[in-house]
Amino acid sequence: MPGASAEVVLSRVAVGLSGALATHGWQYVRSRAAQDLGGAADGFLAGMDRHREVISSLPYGERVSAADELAPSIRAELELLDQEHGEAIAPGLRSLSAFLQSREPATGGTGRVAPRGYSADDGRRLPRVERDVNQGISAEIRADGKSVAAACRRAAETLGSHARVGVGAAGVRVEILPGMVQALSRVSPVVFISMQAVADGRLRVETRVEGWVTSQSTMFGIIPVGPKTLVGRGHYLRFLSALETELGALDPGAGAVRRRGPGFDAGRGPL
Amino acid sequence: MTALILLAVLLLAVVLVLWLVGAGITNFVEAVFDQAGGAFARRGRRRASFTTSLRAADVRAAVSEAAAMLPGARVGAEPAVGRQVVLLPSGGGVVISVAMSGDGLTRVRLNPDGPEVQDDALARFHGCMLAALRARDPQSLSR
Repeated sequence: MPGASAEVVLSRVAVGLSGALATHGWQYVRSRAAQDLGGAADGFLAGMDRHREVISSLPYGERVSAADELAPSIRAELELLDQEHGEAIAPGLRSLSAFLQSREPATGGTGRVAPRGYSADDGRRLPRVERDVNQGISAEIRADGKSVAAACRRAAETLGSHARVGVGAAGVRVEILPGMVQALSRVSPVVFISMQAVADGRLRVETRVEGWVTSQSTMFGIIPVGPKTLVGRGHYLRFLSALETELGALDPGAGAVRRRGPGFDAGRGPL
Repeated sequence: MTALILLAVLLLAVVLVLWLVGAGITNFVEAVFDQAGGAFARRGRRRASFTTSLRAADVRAAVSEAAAMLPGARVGAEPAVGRQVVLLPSGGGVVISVAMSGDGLTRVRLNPDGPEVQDDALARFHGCMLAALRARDPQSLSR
């Protein structure tokens, strides 16, 4: 598959497939990959099934980072496949790339709470949990990927043992463990920090919450009382503030680091 | 049999009423929590704290460098010993206080000076301050 776009297609397929390995939707993605790539990819998909088995045997909280770490090796396997079969497999790879891209959530992901009649787009009040998970950071800074990954790690370290960091090919994943005992703690929220090179050696950094858990008090065990809250909310907000400062320190002169989300975009003046 | 059915219907009605009351309380509490939660998130973002191995004099120099990194910002008159003020271009300022912590490190705290200080300008100055501290001591950390 010639051309610069081939690099993008291979990377996108590798990241999409590795991401799907840790989800319940793997069989669906696998059948789509088998359909698009045909018999030429049987060996490759058998290898992916072995990866899937290993990832499924891991504790839930470790699956996403483990799958993310596989992206470079999956990409290398795809490159070999591309070299062996050339044009015969190129249309399938492009189709699979488009399919995997369409599966990427714009915001949020697993564990998204029901909208309950509120909307993010028309300006009506969002439920509290939605407001929290829609908070994030968008930055455009002059820095390399390694520096940004290190900044993410330092920001996560401000939470002590309440955060687990995984650095992958596509970005950095921070899993927040709000419980008192980390081994027993639920993982919420899971924050993904993506990095994308833009013009002039600048890097666009975006955070998004990939998954979260909510909790709510109940009366007599069944009657909901009080608002649904995001588990790990305090830790998540502390992490965002620390990351904002860390990213700002990487390019203090010309960088643009913006906090986004409900309550942060309204009434913003020039920096 | 009829009595049992009536009892079940009554129980169901009680649960339904309680559930509706619970939902009403939920909405009310949610609105209150929304206000408090927003204020909490803002307050947390408006303050910053760093630890460094630099001495107070070096921190003072780093404050001047940080102010120079942010266009329009300047160092103001010292309000008290051990404190400095940086006036931000968007109005208001940041009070920087330096204290020694028990582990021999220097703790640098940044607090907004005045309600008119914009959150974004503050956050940007926090980044500049950390960069200036790291230029002198790469081990400086945000806490």
